[in-house]
Amino acid sequence: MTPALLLARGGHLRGLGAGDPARRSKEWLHVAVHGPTAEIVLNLNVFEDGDPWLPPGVPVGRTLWLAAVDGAVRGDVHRGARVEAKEGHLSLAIDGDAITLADGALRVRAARPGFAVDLRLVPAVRPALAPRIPFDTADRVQWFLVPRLHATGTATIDGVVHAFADSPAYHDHNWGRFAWGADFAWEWGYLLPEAPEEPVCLVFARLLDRRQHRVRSAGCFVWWGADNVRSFQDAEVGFAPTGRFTGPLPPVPGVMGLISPDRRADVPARLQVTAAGSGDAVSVDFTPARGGRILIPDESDPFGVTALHEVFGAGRADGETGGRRFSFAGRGAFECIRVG
Amino acid sequence: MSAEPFGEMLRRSFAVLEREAPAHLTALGVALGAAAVDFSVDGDRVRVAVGAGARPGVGTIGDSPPAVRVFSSRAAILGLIDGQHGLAGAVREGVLDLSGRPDEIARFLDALVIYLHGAVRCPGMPAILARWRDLGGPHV
Repeated sequence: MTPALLLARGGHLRGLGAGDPARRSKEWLHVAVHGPTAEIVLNLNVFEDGDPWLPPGVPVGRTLWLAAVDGAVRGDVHRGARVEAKEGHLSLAIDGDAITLADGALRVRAARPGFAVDLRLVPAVRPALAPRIPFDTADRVQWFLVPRLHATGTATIDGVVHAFADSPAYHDHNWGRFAWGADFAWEWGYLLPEAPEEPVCLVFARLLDRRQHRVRSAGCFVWWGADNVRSFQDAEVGFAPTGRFTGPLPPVPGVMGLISPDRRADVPARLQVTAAGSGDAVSVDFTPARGGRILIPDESDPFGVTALHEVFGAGRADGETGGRRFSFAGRGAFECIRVG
Repeated sequence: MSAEPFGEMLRRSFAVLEREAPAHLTALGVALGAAAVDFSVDGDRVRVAVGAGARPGVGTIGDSPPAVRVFSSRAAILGLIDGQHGLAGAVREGVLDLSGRPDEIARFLDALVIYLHGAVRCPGMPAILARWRDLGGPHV
């Protein structure tokens, strides 16, 4: 089956349902595009709000965007009034911002003050699913990922139009139940090759407790051509962060910076990920270059904040899988959750 | 539609807090205690103080001196909300002027953070802010 068909079959919205009295259901679609003059993230997410005025199962929507231009990053979060989530289809719209699967590609549109995108993302690889990831004692989240797409279109950032032509892009889709501020943290990233003819791309992730004392699970996923050919798991995977990122990490949204003004980056200056097992091996060396600090009010603590540090950067990957060697330079992103 | 006065926006925001984040409003009252804070924003002058029922509210400035005086402008406050500068930067740049004893200013800043923790959790707050920005947000 083609990547687009598998995206349609597996990437559809699951819906929040109404069976969770604690109202922790969440679902989101995430895209990132690395263009010649701009890098962007757009995340459309729906969730059940704790607002007692809303009946259970009614989705609230948020558009989150980040844009990096000339090393400067800014972004915002918009709480939407009108959510159109087509359960069973890959189609989500929040106040007109939309991610929709149509004609074998993701159509991505958004229009917020200072930021607009109109993009078509064609999947280049078949999806993978990491099911039932244990976030907390009872909470599980599903992770559906299509890490390599080719993006064409435009992003208009502060009035300047940035063009994308088959630019490297990433997409994933998560759904499940958890509360922001619960006992979990994730570290996650990907590396996409600069050269379009390079067949390999990589995604790496690990889940930890909130204070990062204990690794609960880890994975490193390798695509060769269109296929996810290797998934390293847990003890096979090692993360080695070193140094401290010293660049600016502006708060997103800006108002959250008043609550969580600590600008000391808890982001490594360099991240090395290694994975080895059954004769296969991978080494990723990633250097963050610019990013933002997405700050989310905790649901489990009325005065708590969770920080998602989202950084764009570049790196190298080397390795061997199935008897074939690879080595490439690429661009990507790394995201780590910290107490805000 | 012209921008509404700061005090009116603040009153509306307290009403939203009362409805959507009452625990934060209670905590705000505890943090303020007996201290009154007088705001002067583009000439609009209001007082925040704990009133009846131990609930903090927005009222007119009385004869008694406040614990803290805050002088600022709509532009500066929107700059803070939009992350253009932090509190310390706003004070340094002179767009936010705080006067009072250091311990009272510290108390005010603690109360402000409690207010913000509540505000960012309120679904109704973006409309209050949009209206104050004069972008035509819905009337509440």
